[in-house]
Amino acid sequence: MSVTDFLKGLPSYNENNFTKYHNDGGIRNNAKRPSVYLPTVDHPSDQVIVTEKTNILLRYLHQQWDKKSHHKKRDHLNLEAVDEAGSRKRPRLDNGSSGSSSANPAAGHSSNDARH
Amino acid sequence: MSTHQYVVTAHKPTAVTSCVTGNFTSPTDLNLILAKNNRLEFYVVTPEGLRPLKEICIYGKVCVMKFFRPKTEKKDLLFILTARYNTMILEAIGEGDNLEIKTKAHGNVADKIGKPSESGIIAIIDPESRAIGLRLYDGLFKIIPLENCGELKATSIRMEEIQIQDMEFLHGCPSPTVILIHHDHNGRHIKTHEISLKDKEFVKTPWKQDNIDAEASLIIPVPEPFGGAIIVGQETILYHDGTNYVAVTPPVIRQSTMSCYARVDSNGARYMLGDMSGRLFLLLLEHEEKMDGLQVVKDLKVEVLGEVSIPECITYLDNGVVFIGSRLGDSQLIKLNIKPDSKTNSYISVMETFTNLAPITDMVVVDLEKQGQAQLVTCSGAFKEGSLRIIRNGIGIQEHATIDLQGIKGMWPLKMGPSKEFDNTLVLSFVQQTRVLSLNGDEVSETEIVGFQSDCQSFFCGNVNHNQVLQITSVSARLVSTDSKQLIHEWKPPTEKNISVVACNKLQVLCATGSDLYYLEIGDKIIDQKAHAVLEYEVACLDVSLLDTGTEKASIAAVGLWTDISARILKLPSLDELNKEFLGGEIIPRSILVTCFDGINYLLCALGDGSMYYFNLNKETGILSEKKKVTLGTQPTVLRTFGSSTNSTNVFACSDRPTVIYSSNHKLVFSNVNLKEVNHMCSLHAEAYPDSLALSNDNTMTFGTIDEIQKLHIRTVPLGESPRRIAYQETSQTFGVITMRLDVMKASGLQPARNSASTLSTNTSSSAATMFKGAVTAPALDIGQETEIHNLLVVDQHTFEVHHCHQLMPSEYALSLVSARLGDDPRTYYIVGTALVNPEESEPKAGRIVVFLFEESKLTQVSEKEIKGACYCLIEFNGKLLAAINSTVRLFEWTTERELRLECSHFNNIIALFLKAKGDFILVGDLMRSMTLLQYKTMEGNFEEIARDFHPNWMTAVEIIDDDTFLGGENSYNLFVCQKDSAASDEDRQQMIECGQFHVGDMVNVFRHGSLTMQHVFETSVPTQGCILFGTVSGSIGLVTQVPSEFYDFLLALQRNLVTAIKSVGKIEHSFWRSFSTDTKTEPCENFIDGDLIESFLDLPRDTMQRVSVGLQRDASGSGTKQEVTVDELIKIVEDLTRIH
Repeated sequence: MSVTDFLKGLPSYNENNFTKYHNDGGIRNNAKRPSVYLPTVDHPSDQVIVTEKTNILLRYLHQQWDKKSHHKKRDHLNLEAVDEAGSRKRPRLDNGSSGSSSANPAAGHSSNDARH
Repeated sequence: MSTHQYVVTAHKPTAVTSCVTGNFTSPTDLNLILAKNNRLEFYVVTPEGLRPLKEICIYGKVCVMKFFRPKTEKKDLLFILTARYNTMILEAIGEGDNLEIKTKAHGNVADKIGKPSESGIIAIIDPESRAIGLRLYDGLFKIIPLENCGELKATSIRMEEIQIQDMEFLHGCPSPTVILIHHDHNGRHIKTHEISLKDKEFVKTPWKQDNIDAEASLIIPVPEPFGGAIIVGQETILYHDGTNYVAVTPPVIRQSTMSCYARVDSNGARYMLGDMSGRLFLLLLEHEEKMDGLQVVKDLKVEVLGEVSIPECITYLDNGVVFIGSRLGDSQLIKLNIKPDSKTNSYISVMETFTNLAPITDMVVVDLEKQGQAQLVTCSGAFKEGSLRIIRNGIGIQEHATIDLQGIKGMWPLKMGPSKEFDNTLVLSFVQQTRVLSLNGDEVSETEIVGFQSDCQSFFCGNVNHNQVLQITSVSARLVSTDSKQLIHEWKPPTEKNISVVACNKLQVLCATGSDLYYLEIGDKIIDQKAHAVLEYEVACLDVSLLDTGTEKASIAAVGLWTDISARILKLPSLDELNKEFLGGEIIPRSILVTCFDGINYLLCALGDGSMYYFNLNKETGILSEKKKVTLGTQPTVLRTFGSSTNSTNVFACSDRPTVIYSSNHKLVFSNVNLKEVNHMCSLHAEAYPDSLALSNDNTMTFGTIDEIQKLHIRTVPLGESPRRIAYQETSQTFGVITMRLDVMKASGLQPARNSASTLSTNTSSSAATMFKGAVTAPALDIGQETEIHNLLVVDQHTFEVHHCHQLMPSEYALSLVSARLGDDPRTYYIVGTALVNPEESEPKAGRIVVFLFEESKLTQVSEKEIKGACYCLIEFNGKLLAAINSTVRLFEWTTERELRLECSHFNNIIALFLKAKGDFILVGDLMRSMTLLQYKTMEGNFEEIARDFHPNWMTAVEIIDDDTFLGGENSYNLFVCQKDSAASDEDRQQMIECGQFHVGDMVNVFRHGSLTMQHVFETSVPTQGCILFGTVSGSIGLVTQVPSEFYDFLLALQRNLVTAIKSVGKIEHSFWRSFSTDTKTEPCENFIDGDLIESFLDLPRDTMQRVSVGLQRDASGSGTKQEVTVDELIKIVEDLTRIH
């Protein structure tokens, strides 16, 4: 296939666009600038973009803590499994701390998910 | 001595850093949006081409601009991220004139800590509009989930990959998934991350590919049905979708590096790629259907389409038309053709170019024509887009034909015979003679109109109603048939007095004989005298122009009188006086004109000394208001209207400084024309000279066309290589230009990569490496490797032809250039400062200062001096040569043996980059230690360090404002002013006081004293002092001027009111935008007025102007009592401010 074939069927959104374009054989220099837009009416924004101020390490630790306490609560309800829950915590804590140093919270998180 | 600055943009930025296409202003409008530094330009695609819609100022430098369309929207939304981390989502509401840009969402996403990434800011949007991803700092990925309501919370995710080259969202993924190219000590790799928007985490890596092309830098995500991504490298182009991959290594892509792309088809089958050498490619994904109906990519095809401006961004518009945005050259609108051009083999034809001055690396201000009108010559663009640009305030006339004819006293075009559309005859009037020229094609021959009186001077000739022409001489008014050319009727004044002044339109005639004024009307074969009046004094000038294009009859006439120097408005047909206005002074009015600009009626009255009064005119009451005066020239001025292609009214003021008067945003603009003198002019619309003007001076008549009216007129001199420094030499009428071109190592040795100014010059010379004793051998180059070759070009100031090209040694970089006269030597030299660059060394250890003489079209080397470092700057200093060499500032004397001899040095710098001098004082700009002021002690013959700014500013340009005040530009796009405190104790005096700071939002490369406007032309109401022009990386030209403190306070109050009145698109605070900001600190703007904001006052609707003016007070008379400023006074003040540039 040649370049000519490659260039066939270029997209057309409105077939009239550029059909009345005239540059009299030469190259036109665009000297027309759009008029300046000066808004004097205030449109309130629908939404504000805010950036989380918490340090990512703190956020991670909080997340871990929340998960831990979340589990605690659940485990308290499940009265007979208190001890077992305590023993089950340990490996996950290890998992969590190693996760923070290798910055792969995803691993710890997904294992949690899997347990639910 | 003032420390208050007014800074304003004289020419807006022109480098296109980003362009996008989408449906923004309505679901069916196809819009093109261009980002030029802090400005956005909106266009709509129409059958006629691109139609400009709006230009929007953003209070920030636009870094990323992208369209996206959430599922719920019918049109696209615009996402913008600025260099100072402000984000915004914009939406268009309303249409046409009611178009409003609404900021749907906004906020700053900067972090307090974090290392800004060296590879720049990356912002990407999920194709399903679920999230925006930002990579602002190393090791962090910020995600903004796009929810429909509530606040949008940007959260950082830690990312293992530190050095990220490029990043994109993949198409067709159940959760937002990014793909990235990252770099580590093993090379470059691609990796994908799936994001959980709920937990704000990377949850898994769906796929990755290690060790791809070592220079891979560009990711193109491919939409469905294929999915996956294309990775573009230096040698390979790779398609990968996680399971399948296809890689190709087309040799054609190796020459340069791909820098940008545009998708052509919405299904992702074709792309355009642009590389850094300006070539445009087509990339095609060939696909096949698998047994299970799945579409898979089988092969990649890459083809060169042709050459364009070096692209920064590309976007496909419609029907094969593509926009090429460029930072280094003119942007272009191009068309892709199915058939290649038979000569160039290119599939591209350029439709339109968009002038771009960027990057301005150096410039000079010169008054070539010695008319008091300076112009700017810039070093613009880079590589093949390198050029010189001649920028002048005013209007250009393109000359098409010139005829030598002396003593023309008047000119009028006529349509004779059957011609309805085109003028085919030109009547010229001389003392006691009238001649007729017939225009036949581009042939001009003398002819005769029998009905005309040819042995006397004509005061007027022109086509009038009923296929007749009218000639008025001192004796009579003669009506002549256009067909038979015979006299039909003649009117003579009832007294024996000669006609002295006349005015005419197609139907009405005013004739004055002394103080007698006659009003005549033209009928079919008859001239009817309708009224007669005797005025108080003799008539000096008359006008009966039509104010409304729809009417045939003027209802008023304007008269200027001798003796009492008055302008009067008379009612027609009665000739009753409606109003009179004494102009004052003793200079008689020579030309008067009523005209309508932009729907506002004006009376213009030009006097014998080249000055002109203008008034607003009420055409019912004849009342004149808002009297203003302007000086157009020094000789009697003749005012003539002419039409331009845009059909708006323009007035041509013929004088020794010809001027075009037109209206822009309801204010009159006076624009100089690039002709020395014009005595008479008329518009001419002949077949061979359509929409033209005929202009005459004492000796010649010229047919020409007027350029599209614009304030700054830019002429381009293409060089085809990068210009770096420019200097003007008046004695030889030349410019010296330092340029750099790239040569490629071939089997036969170094060859220029392409033809350019230095290779095309007929006179050449070169510095042989042997001339240099401390020889640094040129590095051995591999075949195909590129190297920089530096040259000094001597360019003619009139023709801009290269007279001579001197090529420097291999690996010798020319860094500085000055034209100087040294010591008692009467000759003026071009002096070049160089560095010998050895890639192994951290800074150059050797260089040269070479002295050249250009005489009798020959460049000869007069002297050279070895130096121990790079010569970054050279200036003339009291007949000696001052050089900045690495960390030192050194002064050289010019001996009688014509050699440079070191006199003294100053050492206290990191790298001295910039020097400016005034009297005995020297201002030094350092790489990273701001500015230092030195004084040269003539007696001791050494330098004393007077004062230093101790702030760690990385300088890009410096300038001396006055003996105590210094202006600096630094590399975080700020300006600041320092002052030396002469009165302070010795210890305190050593410290410069920073007394002004401002964020200009663009990198300033050069400051030059000078102005683009005529000095002292206007009676101005603004007490500005001095003028420093600056040129920037994004191609804008700015101006800094000093204002006294009372006026500063007034402007500050106006600025405060404007900040409240004008809403910021994107809701970035004006105070944030103009605050001095670097990596280490952000401090409020101080002692600078934002002239761009002040001048936008003139574009506001009247009621908003009224609101803005409330409470503004000014002590205009200097009496010490402040008075409220009216709206009209305020308009006048701001108009006067706009006229300083």
